[in-house]
Amino acid sequence: MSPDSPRRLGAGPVGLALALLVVCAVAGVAWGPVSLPAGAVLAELVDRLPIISIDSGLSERQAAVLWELRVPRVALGGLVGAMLATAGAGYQGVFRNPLADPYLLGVAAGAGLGATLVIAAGLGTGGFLLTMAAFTGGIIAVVAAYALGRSSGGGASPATMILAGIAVASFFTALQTFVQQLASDTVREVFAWILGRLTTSGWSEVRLLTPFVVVSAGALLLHRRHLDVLAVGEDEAATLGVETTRVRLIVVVASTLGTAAAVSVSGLIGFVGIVVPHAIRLAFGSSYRVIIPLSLIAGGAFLIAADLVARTVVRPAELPIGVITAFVGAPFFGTLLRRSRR
Amino acid sequence: MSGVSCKRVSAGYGSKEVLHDIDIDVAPGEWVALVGPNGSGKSTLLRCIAGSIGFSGDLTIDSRPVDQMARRERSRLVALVPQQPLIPDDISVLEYVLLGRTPYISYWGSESVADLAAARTVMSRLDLVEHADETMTSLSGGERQRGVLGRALAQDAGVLLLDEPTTALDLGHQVQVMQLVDELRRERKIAVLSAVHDLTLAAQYADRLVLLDGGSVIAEGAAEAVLTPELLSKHYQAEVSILRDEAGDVVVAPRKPQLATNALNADPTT
Repeated sequence: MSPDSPRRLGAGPVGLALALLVVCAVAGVAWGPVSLPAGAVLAELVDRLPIISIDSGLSERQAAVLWELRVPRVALGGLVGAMLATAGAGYQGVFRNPLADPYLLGVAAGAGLGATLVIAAGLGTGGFLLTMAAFTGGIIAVVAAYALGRSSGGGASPATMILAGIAVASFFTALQTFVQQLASDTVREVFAWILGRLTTSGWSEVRLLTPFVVVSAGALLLHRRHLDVLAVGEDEAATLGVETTRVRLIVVVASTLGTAAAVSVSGLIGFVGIVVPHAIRLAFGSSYRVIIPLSLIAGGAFLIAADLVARTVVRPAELPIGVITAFVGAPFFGTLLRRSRR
Repeated sequence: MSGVSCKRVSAGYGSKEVLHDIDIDVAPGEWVALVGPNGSGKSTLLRCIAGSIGFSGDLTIDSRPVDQMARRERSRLVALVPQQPLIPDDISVLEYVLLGRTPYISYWGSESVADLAAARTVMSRLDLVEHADETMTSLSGGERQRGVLGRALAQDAGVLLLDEPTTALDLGHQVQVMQLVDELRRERKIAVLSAVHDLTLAAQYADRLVLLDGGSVIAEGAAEAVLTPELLSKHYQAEVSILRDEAGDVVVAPRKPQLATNALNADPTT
C-alpha cells in the first residue's frame, strides 16, 4: 500500500484471497465420496476454458459426477459463503456493531419459520416451494423488525433496530418451535434444514441464488466507502455530506435480500457472517473498503472448505455444514483474536 | 454577504422545542462565541446550522437558504467540530483528516490526488504530518483535537462550527487550540461560531459573545456587555467576579458562596 493512498485495497491481500478461493474450489471439486483422479479433474476443468482443449480421460459417469454434483455444489458453497460474509460486513458497518451478523434483524428466524411450515405440512424437504417459503419468511421478519424499529421513539437508530430485530426473531423462533412441536414426525428434517446444508439438484440453486448475490454484493461493494464515513457516527457523517438514511437503507436491503436468498437455499449456516469479516478486520484493518471485497472472496473460500470437510470426514454420510463452520471457525478465530490483541 | 445568518430560527427534538426564534449573524473572518448554561441550546443551534437536525425559520450560508441545498453542497460550506467525536478504532490521522474530503468525492468515486494534497496541506498547517500514519486513538488529547480540527478544515468550508472544542484539554492545550482557530479564521476568512464553556477564553478570543438561556438569546455584544455579574448570576445561578487582566481582557472568576452561619454550627459531629 503506497503511503499516499490509505484505505485502498492493495493487490497483495486480494491476490492472497483469490489464491485461497482457487485452492479451496479445486480441492472441493476434486474430493468427494466418488474418487476422481485429480489430474483428470484439472484437465476437465481446463478443457472448459475458452480456446484450450484437452482430453481429460474421465468416463461419462465421472464427468457427470463432476459437472452435475461437484461443481454446482462448490459454486453454491462459494456463493452462499460470499453472500453471508459480505452481508455480515454490511450489517456490522451500518449498525456500527462488531457483533452484528447477517441474521441480526430476524432473517434466519423468519426463514426458519417459512421452511418449517413447508416441511411440517408435508410439502417436501427441499425444492422450489421450500426455498420460496424460507425466502418469504426471512423478508417478512426483517420488514417487521424494520417497521417496529421505525415506529419507536428512537427513530430507527441502530440500537433500536437491533432491539426490534431481537424481538421479532424471538417471536418467529417461538412460532417455528411451536409448529415443529405440532408436527413432531418431521422434527428431524426441520432440524437438518436449520443446521444448514449445501445439497444441490444440478444447477437450479446456483441459478436461483446468482442474481441475488450479484445485485446485493454489488450494492455493498459500491457503498463500502460510505460505510467508512458512517463509522464516525450518523450525525457527523451527515455533516460530511453523506445521505445517511439512504445509505443505511440500501445496505440493509442489499444485505437482507442476499442473506434471505442464501439462507433459503442453504439453511441457517452460522458463523460465516461474523467470523470472516472479523478475521479480515484483524488481519487487514477495519476499513470497509478492504473488508467488503475481501469478505466476498474469503467468505466463498471458507464455506467451500467447510463443505469439503462436512462431506468427507464421515463419508459416505455428511455432517451439517453449520457444525463445521463453527467447529473450524471458532478455534481459527480464537487464534487470530489472541494474536491481534496482545 | 457570506457567513452565516439565522433569522427566527426555532428547532427541537420531537415535540419539544429547544430553540426559540434565534437571530444570529456571523461574518467571514468573525468569531462569535455562544455562551450559556448547560441545556441552553448552544449545541442544538450548531447542529441546526450543520444540518444534522431540522429547524424552522430562515438560515442562510453565503446568503443562500440551507434548506434548499443538497447535503453534500452544504457540507462544503459548513464544517462542524463536535463536542465528543466518535473516532473509529484503528483509523490513522491521515485517513481521519481525509474523511473531511467526503463532500468533494463523487458518490461512486474515491479520493483524488487533489483530495490527498488538500488533506496534507491541512495536516502540515496543524503540525500533524509526523503523526500521519499513527492512529487517532494513540494521540494525546491535544494532538487528537488537532486531528478533529483537521478533518473539519479539510472540508474547505467558509463556516466553522465548534462545539466546546477545549472541554477535554488541559490549560496549555486549551490556549493552543483557541490560538490555532484564531489564526485560521484570520488567514482563511472563516466565520467561526463556537459554543464555549470557559467564559474567560470566550472573552479573549471571540469578537462577540451571544448569551443563550432556555433556547433564547438573552444578550449579545462585546465581552464587557455580556459578561456582567448581573447577567451571569441570573442565568448561571452562580456568583462571579468580573476582573480585568493586564491586557484589559475580561476575566470571569467564580466566587465561593458564603455558608450561612447556622449551617456551620448545625452539627458538631460532622
